[in-house]
Amino acid sequence: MSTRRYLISKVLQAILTLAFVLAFNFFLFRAVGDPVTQLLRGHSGISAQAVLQLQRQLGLDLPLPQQFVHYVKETFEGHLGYSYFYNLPVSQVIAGRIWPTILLIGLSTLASTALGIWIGIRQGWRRGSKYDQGMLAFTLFTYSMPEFWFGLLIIMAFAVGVGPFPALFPTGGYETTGAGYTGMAHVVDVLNHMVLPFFVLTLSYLGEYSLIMRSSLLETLGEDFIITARAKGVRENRVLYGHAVPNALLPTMTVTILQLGFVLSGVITIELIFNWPGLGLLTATSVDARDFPVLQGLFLLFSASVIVANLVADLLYSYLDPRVRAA
Amino acid sequence: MSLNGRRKGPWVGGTGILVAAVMLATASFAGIAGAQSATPSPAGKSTFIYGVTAPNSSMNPLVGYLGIDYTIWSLEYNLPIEFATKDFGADLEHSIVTSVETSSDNMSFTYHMRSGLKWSDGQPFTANDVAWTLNFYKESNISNYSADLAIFKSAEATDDATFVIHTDQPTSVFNGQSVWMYEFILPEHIWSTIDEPKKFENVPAVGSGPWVVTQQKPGDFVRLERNPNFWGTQVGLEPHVDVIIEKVFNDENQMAAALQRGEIDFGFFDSANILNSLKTKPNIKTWGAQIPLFDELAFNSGSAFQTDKAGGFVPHGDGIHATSDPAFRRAVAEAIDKQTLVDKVYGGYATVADSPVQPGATTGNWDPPADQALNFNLDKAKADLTAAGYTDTDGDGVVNDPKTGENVVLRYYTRTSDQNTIKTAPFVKSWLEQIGVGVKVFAVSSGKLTTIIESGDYELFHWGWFPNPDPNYILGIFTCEQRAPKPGVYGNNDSFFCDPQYDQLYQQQLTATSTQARVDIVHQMQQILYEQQPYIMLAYTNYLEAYRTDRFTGYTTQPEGVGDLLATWGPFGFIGIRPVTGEGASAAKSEGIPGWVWIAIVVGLAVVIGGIMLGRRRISDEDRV
Repeated sequence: MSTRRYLISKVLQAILTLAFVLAFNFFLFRAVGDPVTQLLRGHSGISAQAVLQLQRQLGLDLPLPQQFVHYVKETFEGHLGYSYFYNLPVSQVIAGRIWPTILLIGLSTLASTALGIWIGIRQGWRRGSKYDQGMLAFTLFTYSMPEFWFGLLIIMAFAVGVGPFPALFPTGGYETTGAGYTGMAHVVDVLNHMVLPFFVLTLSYLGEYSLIMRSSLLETLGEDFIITARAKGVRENRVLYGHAVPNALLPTMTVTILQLGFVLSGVITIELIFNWPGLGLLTATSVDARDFPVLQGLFLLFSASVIVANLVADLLYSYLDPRVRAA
Repeated sequence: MSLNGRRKGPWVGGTGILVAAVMLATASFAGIAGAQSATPSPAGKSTFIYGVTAPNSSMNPLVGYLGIDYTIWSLEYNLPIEFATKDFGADLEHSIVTSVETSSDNMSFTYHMRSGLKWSDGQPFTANDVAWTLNFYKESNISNYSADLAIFKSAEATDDATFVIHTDQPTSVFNGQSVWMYEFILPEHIWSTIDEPKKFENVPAVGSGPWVVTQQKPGDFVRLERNPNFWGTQVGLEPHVDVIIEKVFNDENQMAAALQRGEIDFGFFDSANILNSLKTKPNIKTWGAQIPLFDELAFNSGSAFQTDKAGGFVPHGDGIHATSDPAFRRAVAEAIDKQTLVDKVYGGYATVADSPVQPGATTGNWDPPADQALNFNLDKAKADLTAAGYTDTDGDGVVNDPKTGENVVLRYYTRTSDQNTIKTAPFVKSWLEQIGVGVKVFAVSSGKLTTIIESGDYELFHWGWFPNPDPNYILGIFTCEQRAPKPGVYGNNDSFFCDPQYDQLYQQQLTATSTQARVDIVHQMQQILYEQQPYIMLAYTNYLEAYRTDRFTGYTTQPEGVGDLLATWGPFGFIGIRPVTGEGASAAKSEGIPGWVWIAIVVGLAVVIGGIMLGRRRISDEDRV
């Protein structure tokens, strides 16, 4: 397959997937219940006219096909709707939450990737050593720990302070509420709030990368070209970094790029536990409130980011390993 | 091929350095911890932060609908007459209105206001604002206010300090003797110029209350600052706090941790377990506030059998016949041990309930006559069931309906989002089975249950309400007109209770021309609800609150002695709180490590990583030789 045809087919696949997601989102969220009844429970003095008025206001009085056409048209025009719960445009609600998520999840993904790869290389290179065994046990342990539970323990230890643990950092949030810091003081404030969730996330996902890197490196180290390199007298350091690691990085890189696609969806449990006002937390609260427009907007954004990341991974992989393109 | 025993590469040394750097950084965190004492509050301003467990729905009083939204509006706007903290009565001493005169036909009410009032932006706040707001709410049919304004015709300002309310029918509800109008008065000069008022964000706001909203991050926090033009200082209402922040927590454990750490000063909780875990913590006090809040077991009073067409009602659903029989419902009520539920399910943070109108309502307390009280007594419940014809005719252990002959088995719905409903179910099931009534328990989401209720496909469910201090609204939900008219259409009357005599009394209480006459009618309505038991009232549940004792003091309970510490029906509770000074006072907890340490850490890491990379480059170069 020529490079051009390969590119076109991949991009088309991505567009089709996105179109499917667009349609699926609409019907999925309407299948779970009527938002008006949710909005009105416990609400004082609602008349039948007021209910109809609310339905009309939310566009829920139209037949479903008409709602769908309206939804597609509006989406293409960049209007994601109006939040039932926050009474604000969806784009405004989502925009306010993107940056905290990118900052926390993005940075922790990069950190866990870098550290995981580094640890994986060391483990693979010294397979069976005490370091390998110790790290294997450690990364498996942290990887298998439920994040919310680990997060709560970390809050108790380093935010509230228990026994010998000092209460060092804020319990949660993105910044000190109401302090109104600006400039460098604001940066420091955000960093302080980010330490604990960053630590929990980085540690939780470290194992994923180190395990992949380790097994990939072990496989590569058994390849003939490694034996050839050694037979030619290439130094061990160059065997590792010049020949083994670049080849072993391919699967890790794919996982990393795909993982970056999930950055936008945040990590709901961590954002909940640490009250981090990101997209994960917004998803959770919107599900509670049955805020369909926000959920639709969020799922579209999440799907798009995963689809784009997938496309990037496909294209990059084919560039780095031409065999993929030929297949 | 084994790689065991391979030579340690030069990068391993780099690992050691990096690990050492991380350890050094960690050690520096620990070292610095003891030296922190900075407060995050802006210099010279006292900031009170309270935590809530759900985000606000809106800052706009036309569209928001949650209790926490009302708390915010209570701080930034005024009601014509404010709720007293003592008993939810009319507090004319601290309201914008000072007196009310009623016309002889009880259809016109003249309200006299204080003069010289100003909005937070300095514009005059006059009777024109009040009249405009009330007319606007009525004409726009704003759902938050439509019940209060049902018989309101119009309002007019006769001068800057006087407005007159005209009604369609004679009534006592506007006579100023109780707080009827839960209507927040808006500045006409702002709101009359907005094209789509329901889409107005209203942040920052212009208000007349002691604080106004200056900033909001939806789902995160709301910030209110002192209104420099607050009129209340002329009647001794002097706030002691400059900034109030409502902080949203989505996890109660995290809010409890934030309270312990001193990041917030006060928190509203949902979980009795979490509240109890805070009881023994230093400088923290917990409180179960008695406010208008109740839980009930609601029957399907006959959605499939009723013939009254009020509100366009069409019989629907498959609820069984037995629950449409008041005698059956009364017998079931006698099989429920409410005190046990209060103790075991609600952890003591509740009191036994008997009427949807709470004892502290503006119409006063009502108790069921002693000879009619439906007290817990399984033997009597069983005997009453038998007397009403519900006996086990087929010997399978479950009573049969005298009309249909079928086993009486109740589909009983609990809600997955409310642990109390789930914990209650085993008790109720056990009691009812002891009197021969079958029970099938289901746990569903609130949304799913709403659909089931609208469809009339149930016999029993457990839910709750958060009524206003005035009983008009909560009594209104039992009128025939408020039933779901058909499946898929919402109706407040979730028990499908329908009694023409009750509906008549509901109209009469609106148009009674004296306050006492209205109270009497309301009590008659409470009596009917008790006799007919569309709701088995389980408990008046508490608002769970915890606060730091070393930061602020001066909390006022509403109602007096037992209620909400922040007195959120009005601004007076917040006005009363003041920072703790002198011995025992503590500053806000530090919010992490200082900037210079962060810079040191970043520089240290950069040096270490740079060193490793340089070292690797040198070795790479050597390899190429």
